[in-house]
Amino acid sequence: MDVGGTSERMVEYLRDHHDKVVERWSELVTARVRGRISLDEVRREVDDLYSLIVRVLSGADDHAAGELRAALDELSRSRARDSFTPSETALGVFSLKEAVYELVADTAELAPEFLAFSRMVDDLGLRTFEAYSAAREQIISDQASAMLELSTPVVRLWEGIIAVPLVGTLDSARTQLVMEKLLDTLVATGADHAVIDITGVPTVDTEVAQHLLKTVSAARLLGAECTISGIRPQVAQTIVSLGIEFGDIATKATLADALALALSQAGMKVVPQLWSKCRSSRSGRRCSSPFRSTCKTIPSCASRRTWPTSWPPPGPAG
Amino acid sequence: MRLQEDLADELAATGASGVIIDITAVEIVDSFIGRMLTMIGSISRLFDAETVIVGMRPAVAITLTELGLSLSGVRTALNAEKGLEILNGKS
Repeated sequence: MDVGGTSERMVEYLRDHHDKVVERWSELVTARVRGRISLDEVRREVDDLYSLIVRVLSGADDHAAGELRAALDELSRSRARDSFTPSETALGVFSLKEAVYELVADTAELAPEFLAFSRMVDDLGLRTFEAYSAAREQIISDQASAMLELSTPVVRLWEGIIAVPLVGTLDSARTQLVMEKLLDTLVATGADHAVIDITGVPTVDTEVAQHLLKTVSAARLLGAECTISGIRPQVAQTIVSLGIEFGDIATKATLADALALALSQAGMKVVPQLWSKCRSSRSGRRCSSPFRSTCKTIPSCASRRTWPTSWPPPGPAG
Repeated sequence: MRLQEDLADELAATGASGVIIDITAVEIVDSFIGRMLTMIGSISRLFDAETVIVGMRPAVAITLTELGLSLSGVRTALNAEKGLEILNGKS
């Protein structure tokens, strides 16, 4: 902040007309924000700012400049939170010039000093603008990192089988994170199957495919077999037309298929549960379950003995 | 280099059918190590022995992938136990 051009006289003048300037400034700011903040509140903020500005201009106080900057940053942050535009905040500061000019207009000898003063107010206004955009950028980067954390869970599907449901576009930063998380989980759980589900990935281009291949080959180096699942018809068409080769990596249409494959590779099989509550035999009706041939709940169940194991059963007519 | 020679001598002497290389303690790899592991795999295969690399750290795996080395011709496993399982399943 350049205070060199402002003489003692200007500082004296500003100090003497403190109440007048603050009053006028508050009115101008309130008019600009169209009543979204009360006049009293504005007057309090403006009063603090004005005192700080006068202290900075007088040059007597070393800490004043820092305090003024902090006050402006805080002001524009709170304005950003209350969804004011940065222009409104900056114009609020600029209207100090208007307020002072109205007073100085009839005092011709202060005109050169006023120029220096107005340059300083410009600096202050621009500073609120910068603080505003810095606050916004902070919010955006916080959200981005939160999203990155949220969007890459690694879940355990079964003993020795883990899955990574990917949602959203894959870029290198995310792939890196996914890869690290996947490999760490592989080591931590001792899993030897990983399913990468790309149902939520809207498009697969050569870059995304490259990232997927990298992830798979890294997992293979840890001795884990990878399956890619959730390839939608449009995605499959894109992959083929781009000429992307997944090589010997197993791909499946759905996560369920991938789980079945992983289970069979692990030497496991899912079989239907034995009936614990059989109602058919008690009610005297014929059992209609497709699994009745494997039912061991009631050995003497009529449905079990008389009906053949094939499904659907042959109708009574033939 | 020393490892390759010793390994070849040992394989010739014992007629072993499997080699397990545990790289748990390896924290940094370069392309030379990657190539060396592949070469050990090839040498062992000449003696009709399967090579299993076990205990690779995630960071090492990422580095090797970034270097474009997928260690083809060498099996990998999470730990020595699983490496032994692979060898036993083979023989």
